[in-house]
Amino acid sequence: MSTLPTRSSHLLPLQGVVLGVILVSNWVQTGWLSGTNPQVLANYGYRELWLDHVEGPTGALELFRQALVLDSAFSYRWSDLGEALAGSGQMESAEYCFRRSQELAPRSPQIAVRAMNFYLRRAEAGPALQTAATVLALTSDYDEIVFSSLSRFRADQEYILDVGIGSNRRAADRWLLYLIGPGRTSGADSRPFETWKWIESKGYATREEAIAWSDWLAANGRERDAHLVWQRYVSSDAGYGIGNLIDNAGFEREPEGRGFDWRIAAIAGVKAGIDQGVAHSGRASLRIRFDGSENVDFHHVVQSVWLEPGHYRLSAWIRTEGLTTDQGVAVVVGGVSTAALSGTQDWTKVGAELTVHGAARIGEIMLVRQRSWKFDNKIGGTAWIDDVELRRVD
Amino acid sequence: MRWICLIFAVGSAFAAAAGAAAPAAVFGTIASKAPITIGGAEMSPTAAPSWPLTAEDEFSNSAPAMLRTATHDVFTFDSESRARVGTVESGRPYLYLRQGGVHFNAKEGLLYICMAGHLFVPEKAAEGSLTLDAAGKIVLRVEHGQFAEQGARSCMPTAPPNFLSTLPAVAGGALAGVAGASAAGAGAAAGAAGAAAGAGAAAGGIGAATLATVVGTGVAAAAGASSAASATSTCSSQAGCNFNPSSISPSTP
Repeated sequence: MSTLPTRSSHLLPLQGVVLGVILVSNWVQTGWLSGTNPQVLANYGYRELWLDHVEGPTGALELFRQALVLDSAFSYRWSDLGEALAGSGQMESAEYCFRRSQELAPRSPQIAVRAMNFYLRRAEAGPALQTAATVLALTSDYDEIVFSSLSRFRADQEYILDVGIGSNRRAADRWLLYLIGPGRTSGADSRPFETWKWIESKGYATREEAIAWSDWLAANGRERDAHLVWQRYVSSDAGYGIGNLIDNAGFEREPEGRGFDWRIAAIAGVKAGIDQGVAHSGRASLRIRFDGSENVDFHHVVQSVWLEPGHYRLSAWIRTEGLTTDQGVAVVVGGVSTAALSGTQDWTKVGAELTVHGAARIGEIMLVRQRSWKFDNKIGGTAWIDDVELRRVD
Repeated sequence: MRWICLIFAVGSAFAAAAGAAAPAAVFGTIASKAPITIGGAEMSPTAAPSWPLTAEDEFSNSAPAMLRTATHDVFTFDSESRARVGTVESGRPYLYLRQGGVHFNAKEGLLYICMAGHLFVPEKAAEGSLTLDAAGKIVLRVEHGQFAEQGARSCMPTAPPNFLSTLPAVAGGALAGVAGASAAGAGAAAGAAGAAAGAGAAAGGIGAATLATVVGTGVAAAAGASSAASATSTCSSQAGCNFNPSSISPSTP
């Protein structure tokens, strides 16, 4: 007895065949099977380009041309052809291709980078900087690439600022940080100074940027300028540099740990940090807690100060609680120390006077506990310091 | 009045030109499938397939990289190479290879390649490779053409201003009839016989013998010889490549 095939089992192979025909037809049309897929052609094109096979019927130029014909609306096809044309010296045609690719993808940073490279290669500063500006405006991912390229090709600094950066505040910040990055420029290079001046003139300066700039100035022997930048853009103490020469004098904010703010270094047996619960004035002070395990030579809370020649008065408020040993906590600047407090004492004002001779220079103010020479010398207890002042009195 | 304006305009233009740093000369374009570090900045192929180089750039590459110079010559660098590019007085490419290896194709004229205290000057149309192995020895291979000059020389990352004045005329320099040039000539002559004999040792003298090893095979290769004509010789970075017999293995063809 023969059985008739069911409707579904009869149609399934037929549907599969039709679907297969459609897919194959589509593949042939789009080039997946014929080898004329534009991306495949472009890949072959790059292979030929990297083998230095540019011209000829199987050269990169021809392959990129074919790819472009198949997909002329895709910006990369134009850039690819531009690349090959530039490689064969056809610069005018190459430029047209790069321009066209940018028209098709004005918000593609990759397309803009490729155009920038082309213009750098042609030593055309204007278009190179315009495309660089596009890249910088579109993404921060290529900042390093753009800045390195402009720097290596010695693009004119004024053009970089006015054309390449323009109103892009973020790029201005990154360009300065690039220039003052490790090993890039020295104090003899005018570009960082020009950039900072330009940033200031545009009102783009930020606190973070100013901290980095002040650090760089100090590291390049421009301590006075570093101090002025700190005073203007970084310090949050209203009278800093005018009346009191100490920044963050009341420890009201977490120290920056650099520049002209407090630097707190770690040492065994001591924990130093901001205490938001104890203050002589304001809401915070610096707390130094000695755990009793070390006879510590403590000088690990430091701030750089700019000292002009003259007479100064140093003062600070110190509170102690169970501070052991014969060596207490004092404040020292320029070799002059206040009285050292130990034991348990409520807020007490300590002070000292010093005279600075010779040229203006950077000095250091530090909180100190000297090593004890007694048998019972491992210090325990806590000290708080607040409202540190260094004022010129002559 | 017109003259005053003109003088002012010229003066302003001059002042502007004097104030601006001259843009760096373009050396060529480098491409690789992996990131290339140029002047300390990593250039990713995801951003662009090729990168322009100035005539004072230093770069390193993690994958093979092709450098096409503005003079249309081609260098292909091995993975993990490190080099500095520049030009000599004539504008011809100068390559200072610090690490790795390079295949050169002197399409348009002389190339100047300095590595491990040795200078190699491939003539126009010469092709070959130079590799600095881990022990600091140079492995040299000539496929086509010959060297106009080669030998121990203090290598500088940048060619000094009077660089060519110390080279023979055949290598683009100012010196005529000096040892290097005549040795090259002798080497070429010896090479025709030497290559057939299968050894540069056929040429007389230590310098000539080692030079002939390279030049002879180059001539043979140019004449259409098979891959067997390619020569490989090694030379240490301390001793002279062409002038130190111990640096060349006797079995080297």
